[in-house]
Amino acid sequence: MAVGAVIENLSNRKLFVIFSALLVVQILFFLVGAWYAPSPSSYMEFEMITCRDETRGFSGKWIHRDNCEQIVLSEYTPISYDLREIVFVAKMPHARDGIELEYSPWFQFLLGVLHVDVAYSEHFKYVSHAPLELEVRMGYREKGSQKNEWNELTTSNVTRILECTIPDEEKKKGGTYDCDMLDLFELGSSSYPFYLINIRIPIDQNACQYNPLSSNCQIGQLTGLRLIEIHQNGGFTLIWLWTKTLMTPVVGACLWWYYNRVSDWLYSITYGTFQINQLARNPLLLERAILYLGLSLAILDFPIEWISLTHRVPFLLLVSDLRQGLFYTVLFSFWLIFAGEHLIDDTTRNNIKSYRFNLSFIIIASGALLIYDLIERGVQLYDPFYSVWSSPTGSQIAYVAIFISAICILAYFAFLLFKIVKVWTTIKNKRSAQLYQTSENRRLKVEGVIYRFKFLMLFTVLCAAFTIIAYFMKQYGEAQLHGDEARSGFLTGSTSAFFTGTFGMCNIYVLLLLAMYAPSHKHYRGATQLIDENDDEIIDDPSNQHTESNAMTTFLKPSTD
Amino acid sequence: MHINTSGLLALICLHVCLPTPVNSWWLLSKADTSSPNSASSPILCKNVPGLTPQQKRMCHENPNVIKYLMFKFQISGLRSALHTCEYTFQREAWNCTLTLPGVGTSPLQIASRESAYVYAISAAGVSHSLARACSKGLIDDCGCGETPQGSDSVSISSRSRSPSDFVWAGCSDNVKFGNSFGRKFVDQYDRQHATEPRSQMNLHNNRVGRRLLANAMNRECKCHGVSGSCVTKTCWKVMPKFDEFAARLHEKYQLAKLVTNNDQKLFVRSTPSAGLSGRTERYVKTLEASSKQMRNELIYLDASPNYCAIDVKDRECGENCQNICCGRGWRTTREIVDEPCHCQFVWCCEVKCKTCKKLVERNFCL
Repeated sequence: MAVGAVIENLSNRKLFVIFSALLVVQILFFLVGAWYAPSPSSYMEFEMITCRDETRGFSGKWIHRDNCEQIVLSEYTPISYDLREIVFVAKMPHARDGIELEYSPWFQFLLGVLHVDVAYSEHFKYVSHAPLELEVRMGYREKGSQKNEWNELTTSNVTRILECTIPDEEKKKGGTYDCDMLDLFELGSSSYPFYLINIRIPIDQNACQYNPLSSNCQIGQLTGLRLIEIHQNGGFTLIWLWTKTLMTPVVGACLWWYYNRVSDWLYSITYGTFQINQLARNPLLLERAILYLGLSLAILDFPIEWISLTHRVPFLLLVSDLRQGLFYTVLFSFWLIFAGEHLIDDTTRNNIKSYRFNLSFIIIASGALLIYDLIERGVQLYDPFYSVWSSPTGSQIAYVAIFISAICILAYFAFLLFKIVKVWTTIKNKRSAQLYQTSENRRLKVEGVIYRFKFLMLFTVLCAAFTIIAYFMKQYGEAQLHGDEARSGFLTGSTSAFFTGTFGMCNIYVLLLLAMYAPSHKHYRGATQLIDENDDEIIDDPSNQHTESNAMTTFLKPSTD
Repeated sequence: MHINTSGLLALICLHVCLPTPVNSWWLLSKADTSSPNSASSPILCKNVPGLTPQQKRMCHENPNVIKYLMFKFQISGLRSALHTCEYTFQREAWNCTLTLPGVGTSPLQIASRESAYVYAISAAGVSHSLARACSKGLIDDCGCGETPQGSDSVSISSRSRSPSDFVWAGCSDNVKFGNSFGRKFVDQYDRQHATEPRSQMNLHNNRVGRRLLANAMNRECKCHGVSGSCVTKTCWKVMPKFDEFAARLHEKYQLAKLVTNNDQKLFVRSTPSAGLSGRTERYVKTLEASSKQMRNELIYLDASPNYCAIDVKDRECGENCQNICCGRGWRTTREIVDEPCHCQFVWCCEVKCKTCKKLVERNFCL
C-alpha cells in the first residue's frame, strides 16, 4: 500500500484555482514593490573639504566644517614637510533644506566609496598600481549631543591600490587621470545619526627620497577626494520587513503541516496495518529535502532585522548573507536530489550517499563563498575600513574563493542538466516500452513519477523565466534614470519591484512544493511507492475512482497520444 | 587662474548704465570683487543693481546659496563660466570679450550665436558651482528632493521635504538642485518677459546649458549584493569637469541654429538633406524652437556683429592668425625665455629646477 503526493490527486479545477490565487499573490508582491517602496538604496555625495591642521592630527582634535581653516589644494604651500597637516573632512549626512538630516537605523547599512582625483603632473608622477595609504578617523555623534561633540568610532590606517588611467592627449598640465573608485568602509548598522570623517594622507619624506616605492610616493598629484555614501532606503526596509513578517507565519504553518503529514502518514502506516515490517520507513529522501528547503526558507524569512531598529547589531549584514547562502545551497541541493529521485530505473535512489559527488560541488561552492564572506564582512565588524581586496594576499584569497565557487557552480549546473536530460530520456523510453505492457499498478506508478517531475520542471522553468524577465525590467528601469528630467514611469520603480517580486516568488515556489509534494491522504493504491519496485499487488478499490477529471491524466494526455 | 577682471567690470558697468538691463544677475559676479567678506549677504542683495524684485527676494531668502554664486574660492559659478569661455575662445575671432570697444555695444545685447553661448555657459556655471558647494556640504539650504519645474514659487525650499522623506527615500542629486535654483533665479527676468523673442531665446539657451550639464554627468555604480554581487547595485552621477562640459557646449555653439520670430514663437528654418542639389530650397521645413529636436540646440536670432571691427592690434593669435587678425596680417616675434627644466622633486613639497634658455615664437596681430 502506498500513497501518492497531493499533486497527483488534485482535480484540474482545484489546481487552476490554486494557481490563479498564487498568481494574484505574486502580482501583489510586485505591486507592493513598484508602488509603495522607494528604490532599495540611495546615495549621498560628499566632496571632502580640505582644511589645515598644524598639529597634524596629534592633538586628537576633530576637524569639522565649523573649525576648518579651509584651503585650496592647488594654491596651498605646506608649512612643514609633513603633509598630514592637510585634512580631508566630510560630515555625514549633509544638511538639506536648512534642516540637519540624520541617519536612521532603518538604513540597515552604510557603505562608503572613495573617489580620488589625480591630476597629471611632471613632478608628482603617478605610477600604476600605486598603493594609497590613508589615515582615517571616523567619529560619531549622538542625537541629543552638542553640535560638534564627536566621539571616536574607529581609527584605521587604510591601504588601497590606486588604479588610474589617462589617455595620451591628456598628458599635459591640467589633464586628469580616470581612477577606479575605492571601497572605503562598510558599516553593518546605521546606529548613529551623524558621522564625521577625517582623512590624512601621510607621506614619509625620507622614505620617498631614498626609495620611491615607499608609501604614497607614487600616487601622483592628488587634487581632491570625493566620498559616496550608500545606504538602504528606510522606506524599502519597512516594506521589506513587513513582507517578511507577513510571510513568516505562513511559511511556518505550511512547514508544520508538511511535517505532520510526513510523520502522520508514517505513523498510520506503522501502526495501522499489518505489514509493519515491510512498509515502515523513514521519510523519503525527497520528502526530507523538501522539508529542509522549507526550513531554510523559514530561516530566510524570519524578520530578525526588527531588532536592528532598537539595538546596535552590526552583524546583521553578515547574518543576512549567511541566510541567503544557506537557502541557495539547500535549493540547489534539492534540485539535484529531485532530478535524481525521478530516475525511475536507478536502484541507488533514496540514499543521500549516492549524491555525494554532485553535492560536493555545491558544498565547495558555498563553502568558498562562505569563507570569502566571513573574511570580508566578519572582519568589518571590528574594522569597518577593512577590505579583503586591499592587500595582495587578501585579494588572491578572494579571487581563488570566487573562482572555485564559479567553477563548482558551473559544474553543478552541467551535472544538473545531464541529470535532467537523463530523466527525460528515461521517461521517453518508459513510455514507448513498458507503460501499457506491465500491470496497471506499475503504469500508475510510473505515470505518477513522470507527472510529478514534469510539474516541478515546468514550474521551475516558469519561475526562472519570471526572474529573468523581472531582472531585465529592473535593468531597463535603472537605465531610464538618465538625464535632467528623470521620467517617473512604471518601470523606474522596478528595482524594488524586482526584489519584492522575486522574494515573493521564492516563497510561493517553496510553499507550493510543500503543499503539492506532501503525501496525500487519498490513497492511490500501489501507484507511487517509489521505493518498492516489486510491490506489484493490485488492489482494486472502487472508492478510488475519481469523478472529477484528474490533473495528472490530462497533463499526461498529450504526450501519451 | 587669471580672470579678465576689466572685461567683467566693463560688462557690469555697461549693464548698470544701460536703461534696460539685459540680464542683470550677471552683476553678482561683480559683487564678489567688491565685497570679499560675503558674509554680509543681506546688504549685498540690496547693493546689486538690476535684480528684479523676485530675485532680490530670493537673494534674501537664500543668502547662503547666493554666496556660492560668487564663492570666495575658485568655484564661483559665473567666474568659472567666464574664465572657461575665455579659454575656449582664445584662438577665435571673438575671444569671449563681453565689451567691444570699437562697436560700442555689448555683444550680449545682440541676439547672436555668441550671446547664446554666453547665456548657456553661465546658466550651467551657476548650476555647476551650486552643485559642488552642495556636495561639499557648505550650503545647508540645498534641496533634498525634487523641486518641480515650472513651479512659480520663489523660495527654493517651497516644496522642501521633511527629514522623514530622507529616511524614506533619500535625496536626489545635487545638480538637480543647482538646476532648479538656476531656473528660478537666473531665468527670473526673462520669464517675466516671455513674450519677447529675445527672452525666449535666452530662456531656451539657459535651458540648453543646464540640460547639457545634466546630460554630461557620468554614471557610476557600486555593486553591494551578497558577497559583493551585482544583484544590489547603487548608481550615482558624477559631475563632469567644467572644461569637459565647455568643450561640449562649444560644439553646440558651432551648430547653433538661426531662428525667426513668428507670432510670439520661435521657428527654425531647417534645411533637411542639404546635400541634395537644388531641391533643398523647396523643402524648407519649419520647426518650433521648443520642439524635441531643438531641445538640445542653441538658438540665436541675429547674425553676429563683425568682430573685426574690434581693434585686434597686438592680440596674440597663435596658430589661427588669418582669422583672428581679420586679414590685417601679423608679426612673429622670437624671444629667448628662461624656462624651468630638468626639474627634480625634493621631498617634501619643493620642486628644484634648472633654468634653460628656450626660443619661443609668438604671433601678434598687426
